[in-house]
Order: sequence, then structure tokens, then C-alpha cells
Amino acid sequence: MKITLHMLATLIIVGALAGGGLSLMNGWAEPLIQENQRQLRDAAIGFLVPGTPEEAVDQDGLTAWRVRDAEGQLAGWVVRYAGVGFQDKIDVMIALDPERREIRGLKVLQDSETPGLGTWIRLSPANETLLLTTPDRDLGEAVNDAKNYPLQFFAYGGGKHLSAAGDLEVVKGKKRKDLAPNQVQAITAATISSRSVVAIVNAAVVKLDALLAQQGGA
Amino acid sequence: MELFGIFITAAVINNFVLSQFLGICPFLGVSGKLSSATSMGMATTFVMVMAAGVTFLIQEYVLDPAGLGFLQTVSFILVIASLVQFVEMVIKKVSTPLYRALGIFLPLITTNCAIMGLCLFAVMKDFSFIESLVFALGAGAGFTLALVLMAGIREELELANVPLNLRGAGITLIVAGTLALSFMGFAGMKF
Amino acid sequence: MSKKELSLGADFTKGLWDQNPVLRQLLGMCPTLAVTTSAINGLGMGVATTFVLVCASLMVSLVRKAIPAQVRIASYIVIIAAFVTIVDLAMKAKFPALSKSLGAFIPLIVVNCVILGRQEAYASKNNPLRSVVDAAGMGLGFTASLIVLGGVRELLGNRTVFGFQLLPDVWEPWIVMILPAGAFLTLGLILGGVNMLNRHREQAALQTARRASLAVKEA
Repeated sequence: MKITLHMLATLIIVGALAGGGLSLMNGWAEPLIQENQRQLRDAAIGFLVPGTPEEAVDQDGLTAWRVRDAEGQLAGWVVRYAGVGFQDKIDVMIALDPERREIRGLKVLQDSETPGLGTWIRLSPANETLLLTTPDRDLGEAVNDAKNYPLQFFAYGGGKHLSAAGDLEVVKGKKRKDLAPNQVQAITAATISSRSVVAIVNAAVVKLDALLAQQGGA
Repeated sequence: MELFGIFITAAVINNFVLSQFLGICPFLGVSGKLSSATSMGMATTFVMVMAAGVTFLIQEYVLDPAGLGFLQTVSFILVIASLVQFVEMVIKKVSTPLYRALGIFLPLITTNCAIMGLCLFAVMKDFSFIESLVFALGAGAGFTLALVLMAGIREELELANVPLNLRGAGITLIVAGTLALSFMGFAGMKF
Repeated sequence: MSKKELSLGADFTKGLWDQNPVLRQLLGMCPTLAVTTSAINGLGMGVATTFVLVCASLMVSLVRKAIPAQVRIASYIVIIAAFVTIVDLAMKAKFPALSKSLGAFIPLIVVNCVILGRQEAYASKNNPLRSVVDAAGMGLGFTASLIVLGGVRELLGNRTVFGFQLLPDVWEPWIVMILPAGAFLTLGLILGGVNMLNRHREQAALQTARRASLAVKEA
């Protein structure tokens, strides 16, 4: 009996100390963690469409922001949506023009694609710098490599943009200048990852239209 | 995702051992003989399904409503440890043959990261109760599959002339590498 | 204690080579294989594990006499899990990028058998100072193995180590090295190399001993 009591007391004391210590720790860490996540999100939105974001839709796993420039004019939209990739979930942010007719950018927030192949769906730091330093993000014909897959979603070659009607498709082996506004060149050896991203983008723009129509109707 | 998709994904596409690196210790330790590999696989699957169910209930009805998410690691590991003890006691009482087959493997399961990993992943992926159970079943099946494949190969390796310095863990890891490479063939299957 | 007392220094260095948790004892293989796609991930995981190992060893060693034998494993697990959560929260708060790339493997430190193994084999029987020294040695050995494995995989699979490009652009990256298969293959070969080194060392020691005994006989 005495031993049982001792055992119980030990477990309770150890558990209570651990729980108490952790709740203190959590009190310190929780605000920092949320701040980190907010910063990461705002940085991604700011990268895609510079300006002041205001949340427009947050429903069924889709979040969208209207972004306004310094004069309060609508500068564009940013949509966050996730879907299934090659291995696991892919979480992306998509930039749209103010009328939501063209896709103006894409940033993958999270994925578990095959390292070295499917991970080319991410913007590399070098590409990110290139985009930030190119006026109007007009990359001209500089983008001509399957490894620059995410760059296709930004403006390239004389302000050519991708269609935001939900009709994007993946093609293989075409020259970039021959691509139609609804065609995306696949990554070599990672066609499934490329298709997954395009499917998520299509689903996101269609869903955003539907949700906004619903809001307008209500 | 459909239930069947969850099962197949956990069992072969994202095989716990060969592509997620969970449960490597038993994979290296208990894959010497085919019979013990099968028993270990079954014992692990059994505990996985139970642990997935219990940790789901704890996350859903205790941790989340109370805002105690930071106690997740502590509570999950305690649940798994006590569950293993409990299962061991029950099996010992209920069936002697079953205890003989699984008993010695049960204590090893507490520190099997596949179980803990499974519970954490199920929460991360926002699975429902049924989905969590199917996920656990798939993960267990995948674990058993990897273990049995490895044991089969290692029984053959006994007869092979392996370079002296690679004998034991070295060659086992290299064989595991080639297995992992072939399991990549399952990646990209869609449901 | 029946065993011969090691000096404090030897207690520290044994974890680096002779009893290296990864290369000699084959413990803690899951995080070793899973997170070592790059040297920096290996370093992050190693430091996190070492922190938990040292703190848990100190704590267990301090309270070792107050804990009844029947519930010692449960108590150790709670202590370890508490420190793991502290590391997890701290990394999420201060190093979000590293925490994201290590993912679920931070909470999984709790089932790393190196840590529970050291509590059971060492910290529960030795004084706090020795336990901390032992834990630091083991942690350092673990971290070093992870950095080596991560470094090799990153170099061959991505041409870089710690993000610095070391191989020229003409080197076609071996993508397999950063895939799961590469982890198994690399560690298998490293273990082979370690065995070879050890065998050489043992043989050399044997020969010295033989020569010495011959010399004694001749004299």
C-alpha cells in the first residue's frame, strides 16, 4: 500500500511539474509562433501582390485577400488553397489581377514533393530575387528552362499571362513562345507534381469565383 | 481522400519504414527471421490501430477543447506506453498462444517511433476517427510488408558472401536502400 | 559500482567514437535517416536531441533516488517528453524555418531510443555531473554522425554543404542521395567504413600487444 501511494505520488508530482512548466513555456512561445506565421503569410502576400491586404473570403479551406495599393486602388487578389500532390498536400498562394482574369504569380508555401525533382515547383531564392528586381516582372525570354516552372505563372515575354478561367493544362516538349495562355510547361521528370499544382490553381480560381458570387448574392 | 486511398498511401506510397523512416529500430533488429518479422508486424499493427483511436479521442475531446495542444507529446507518449502495458496484460490473460507469439515484442513497441509518428501524422492531416483507424491499419500493413520483405531477403543473405566490413547492419541498410528505391515506383499513384 | 570507474574525460569521449550512438550502437536511426537531407538539418536535429538528452539526464540523475523502480520508465518518459515539448516550442518560436524542415521529427525525439537508453543505463545510476558529461558526449557523437551523413548526402545530391556550393556545376547532382534510398545506402556504406577502421585499429593493437609480449619473453 505504501509503495503504491509512493508510486502514485511520484507520477502525479512529475506530471504536475511537467504540465506546469510547459504551460509557462507555452505562454511565452505561443504569441511568438503566431507572430511568425503571420509574418510568413504577409511576406508571401506582399511578394505576390505588393500593397495592403484585406481578407475577402475565408471559407471551405480557401482564403482570399483583396490587395490595395497606396492610393486605395485594387491592385490584385491573392488566393490561398491546398490540394493533393505527388506525395502529400501542396499548399499554394496564387496572385490574380484585379479583374481575376489572369494569373500573375504563384508561391508554394508547403509541399513534400520528391527532393530534386518535384521540388522545382518551389520558387528558388535566385528566382525570387530575379522577380523582385525585374520591373513589372517582365522576364522576357530569359525564362526558358523546365526548372523555372514557377516563373511561368508570373508575367513573361511582353506581359503574357496565364488564364484564370480554370482551364489551365500541362503540356510537354513545347517551345515557350508557342504556349497558349492556358498552357503550362511541365517540369522534366516531375509531370505529376506539375499537374498537381495546375489542378490546385484551377480549382482555386473556380472556387473563388463561386464563393464571391455567393457572397455577392447574399 | 477516400478510405481506400488513405490505406494504400499509408501502406505503400508513403511506406512508414521505407519512405518516412519510422520504426527503423525494429526494422533492423527484428528482421532476421521471417517468423518473428511477421509477429512483430502484427503486434505493431494491433497497437497502432488502438493508439490511433485513443489518441484521436484525446486530441478531439480533451486537448483541443481545453487549448492544451502543447501537452500533445506528453499525453500521446503516456497513452502509448500505458496502452502497450494494458494490451500485454490482456493478451496474457486471454490467450497463451497469442501471448507467446506477440508477447516479447510488445515492450519493444513503446519506443517504436512508428506508433508515435502515426498518431502525430493523423492529427496533422486532420483525419476523422474512421480515417485515423484506416490510416493506422494501412501504416501497420506497410510496416509488416517492409519487415517481411526484409526478413525474406536477409534469410537469403545468410548464404551470400557479403564483404566482411558490411556484414550486419551495413548490408541490411544497403538492402533497405534498394527496397526504398523500388518502393518509389508506387509514388504518384492517384485515387 | 562494480565496473571500473572511468575518468570524467573518458566518460565524455566514449560517446564520440567507441560507443557512438549511431555508428556503434545503432540507436536513434529514425531521425538519423529521416532528417539528414542536408548538413544544416542534421545539425539542427543533433543540437535539439543533445539539449533534450542533457536536460533529461540532469533531471533524472537529480531525482533518481526519489523515484520508485516500478514507475521509473513512466517518469523518465514524462521528463523527456516535457523537454522535447520545450525544444519544439522554442524552435517554432525562434527558428521557424528549421522547425518546418524538421517537421514531425522534433516531437518524435521523445521516442529516440538514445535518450531513454541513456537514462536507464547511466543517468539513473550516476551523479548529476557525470550524467551530464555522459549525455553531452553521447549528444555530440550523435550530432557529429548526423552532420557527416547530412553533409555527404547534401554534397552529392545538391553539390553543396551547409548551403555553400563545393562541387562545380558540371557535377550532375545524384538526386537519389537526397531521396530516402540515399539515406539507407549512405549510412550502410559509412557503417562499413567505420567497421573497416575499427578492424584496422584492433589488428594494430593486437600486433603491438603481441610484439610487447614477445619482447618480454626474449628479455
